[in-house]
Amino acid sequence: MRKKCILIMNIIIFLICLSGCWNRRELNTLAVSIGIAVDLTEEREPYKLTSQIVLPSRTEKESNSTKKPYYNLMSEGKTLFDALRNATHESGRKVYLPHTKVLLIGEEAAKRGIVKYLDLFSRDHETRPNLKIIVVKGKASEVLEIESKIEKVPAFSLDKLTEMQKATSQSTVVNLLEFNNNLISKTTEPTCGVIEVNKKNGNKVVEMYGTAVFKGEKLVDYLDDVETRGFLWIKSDVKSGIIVIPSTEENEKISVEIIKEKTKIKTEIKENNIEFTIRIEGDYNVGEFVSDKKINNSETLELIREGVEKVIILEIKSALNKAKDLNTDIFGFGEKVHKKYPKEWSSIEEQWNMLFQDIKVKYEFQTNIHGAGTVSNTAIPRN
Amino acid sequence: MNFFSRKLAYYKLNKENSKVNDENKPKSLLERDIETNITKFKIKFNEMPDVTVRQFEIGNENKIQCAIIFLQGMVDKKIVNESILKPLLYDSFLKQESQKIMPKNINSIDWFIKNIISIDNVSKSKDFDKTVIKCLSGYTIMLIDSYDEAILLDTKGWEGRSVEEPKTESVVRGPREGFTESIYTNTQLLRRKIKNTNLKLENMTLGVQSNTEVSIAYIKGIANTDIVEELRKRLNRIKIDAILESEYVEEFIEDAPYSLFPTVAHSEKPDVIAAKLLEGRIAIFVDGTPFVMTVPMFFIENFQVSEDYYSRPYYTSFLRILRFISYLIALLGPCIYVALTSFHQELIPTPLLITMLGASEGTPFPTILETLGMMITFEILKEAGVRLPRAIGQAISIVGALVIGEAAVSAGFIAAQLVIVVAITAICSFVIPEQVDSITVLRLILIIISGILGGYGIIVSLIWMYIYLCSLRSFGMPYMSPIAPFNLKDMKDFFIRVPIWMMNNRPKLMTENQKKQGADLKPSLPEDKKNKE
Repeated sequence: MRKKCILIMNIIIFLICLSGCWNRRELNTLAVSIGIAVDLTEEREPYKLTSQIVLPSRTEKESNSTKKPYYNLMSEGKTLFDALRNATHESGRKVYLPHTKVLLIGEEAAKRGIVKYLDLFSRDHETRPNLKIIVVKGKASEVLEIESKIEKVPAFSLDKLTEMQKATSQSTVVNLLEFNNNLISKTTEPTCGVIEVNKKNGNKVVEMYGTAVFKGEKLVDYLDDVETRGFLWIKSDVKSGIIVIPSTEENEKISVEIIKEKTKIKTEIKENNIEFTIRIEGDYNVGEFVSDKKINNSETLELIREGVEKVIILEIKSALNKAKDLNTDIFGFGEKVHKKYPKEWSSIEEQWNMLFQDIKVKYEFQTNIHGAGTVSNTAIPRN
Repeated sequence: MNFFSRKLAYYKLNKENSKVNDENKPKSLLERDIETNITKFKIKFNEMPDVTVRQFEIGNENKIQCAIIFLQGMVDKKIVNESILKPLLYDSFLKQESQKIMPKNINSIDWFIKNIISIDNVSKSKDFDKTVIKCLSGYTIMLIDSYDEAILLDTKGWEGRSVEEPKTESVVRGPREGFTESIYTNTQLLRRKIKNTNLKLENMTLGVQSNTEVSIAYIKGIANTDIVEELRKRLNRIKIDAILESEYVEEFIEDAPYSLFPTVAHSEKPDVIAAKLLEGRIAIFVDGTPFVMTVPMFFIENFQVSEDYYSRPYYTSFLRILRFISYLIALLGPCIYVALTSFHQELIPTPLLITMLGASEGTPFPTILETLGMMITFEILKEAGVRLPRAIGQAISIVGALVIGEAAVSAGFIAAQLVIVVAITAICSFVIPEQVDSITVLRLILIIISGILGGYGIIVSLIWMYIYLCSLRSFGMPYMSPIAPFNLKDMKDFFIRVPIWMMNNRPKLMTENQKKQGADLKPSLPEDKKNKE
């Protein structure tokens, strides 16, 4: 019995002493950050960090008042971590990072090299690897000031915005983990999402489209929405979106929604030429079909199918051309060659940048038009 | 059965020590002279006005002095008057007229028993102390002059509660009768469920002062004889003043006397006890309480309810799983809350965290104090609700709901979400009534641990608890059976309850006689109809 007691006491003492993070914090001592923006300044302390802190309302009454539900805590420092802790000069609560959804990086900062901004967030145990990285055209901190009409907290609205981009597949959404993986890769260049502040009806609005393309750690250029979807087709990352088939006849408007898509890429080295076969298997629904033709016959469906494939090829080509112009292998073609031809890769690796310019791409399609909607004929006046 | 002998060595030791006192007592016997005997009784029953001594004479020519002694209120007066006094005073006199029945010299006390007394249960005794105890438990003592034996007449009959639906275990479907305070009614209720000569009852009297009747019941051929023998030994060990409730016995026969978890099950319903006996368990009836105990007990018995077997298997299985979940919530709800809010805020979904942040803004106490305070408040309210008279009890619940629910939150003392946590925990803990006491204590301990060590502490405590439960035994049987040791056959009545025609075996560890029913009992279409399809 005595021995047992001593054993149990020991266990309890060890439990208390040896357990890892003994760090009790009450909820009301936290400043929960939802979004963080980093910018570069030309001052003595070059790192400027803005963290958006939620200010929750205690009662229903308070939540209806005009009080802003957030506060942007700004601080500067010699490094990013320094800046983060310097925030406590202003706030009585420590910035609590785990719930940070978005990391906004100013264009200027991204152009100078992004690694020194990301290291803190990759290293710190509090942040999550699914933190979304977005480059802001202009100053990043500005974005956190712009309230969306729909969401009260700007950072939440940005988070929702990134979630909803799959509806169009015209912008890239990349999180910290994916970004770091591409950063480490020798051939694949990292990409991330882009937001821009635009004026609409005199109001400032935040819009997200396109892709920021990096070369190494430096931002070089942006892809527009068409190029972005082409890029996503190759990455097999198109979740949904509308394909508008350019009409040949007047009055004819066809738009098709992407239901499901899967891209397979086959790599082959033929006579010193690297050839990729992109096979896109997709299911589509017809959303709009303004024409006097009947939709439920095979000819019309064939027409739609061809139209879809043409658009896809166009999109992919524009993305490829842009990437070749910038000489950045954002698609991960290099990785694919490496995997398929590990022996040959050592000779290819050094000159991949050159070879990337000459890669050949073939297309294969399996296009299924699944639904044609609830009507077979368009309701147009007949003469 | 190795663990048996090892585990219980000290019980045997104790038993040998206690034997010594018993043997030395001189037995007090009855005398031949009735007057001496009556005086003896009167001295014994001094200052007991409820004892009635009725003296009378029988016979015409050679009158015989007789006396009956009984306790008012313990005997059925109608029986005493109609079946003892009337035949002795009236019928025997009549019969003597015709010179047929009453012989001149009655040479044996048996003559009375055989010819005159019309009572079913009659015995004789020379032992004075025994007759006194019998008298105290409702027997009528009959003394006849010149015999040193007393006739013990079973005339028990007292005011008792009738068989009602038990308050603690109500069912929607199933028998509604419950045990009463009378051990005789209780054993009879059990007999009505199992009409089989193999249902054996063994009676004993426990308690030096109270002389409470205790019986053990088991089904011969199903119950493990080793366990029956062990139970007998443990019961015989009990040298206690009085037994007022079955708990008095329970605490003497447990394997782990310091354990938080009960290792003896109890129920108020005859159908439950019958079902447990049929699984090979042994029941212990204690006079004066409607709660009947069964041993050995498994942990799973806390989650099994009689109604599980009276409703459809799918629904039952769903309820079983629900009970397991409720158990976990009742045990872990508040401590997970404490761990999440004071250590692992990153695990709370962001929108929820923000709501919680808002609610805990400006609350003065640390979460662990808040939670402990609320939990203790709830326990106080519960206790007050149980103790108070019904009418006032309702007022308590209103005040409690107001205090907990509204005032504390709106005054900013506690966070609103804590009320939800406490309420859910409270409701869940009532789902497993047998474990309420162990849950209540464990929960408070766990809250403190999680307040110090967070989720890590919870995990360590749970592992410790599980190891402890696995090491616990009830009458030598592993408490966590059939999980540890694992037995697939017994899992048919664990997380899910399979249809009754599939439950072909009794619990493996409980009994040697495992086969309960035939294997091929699945209902199917008659042969001729099958062929048509």
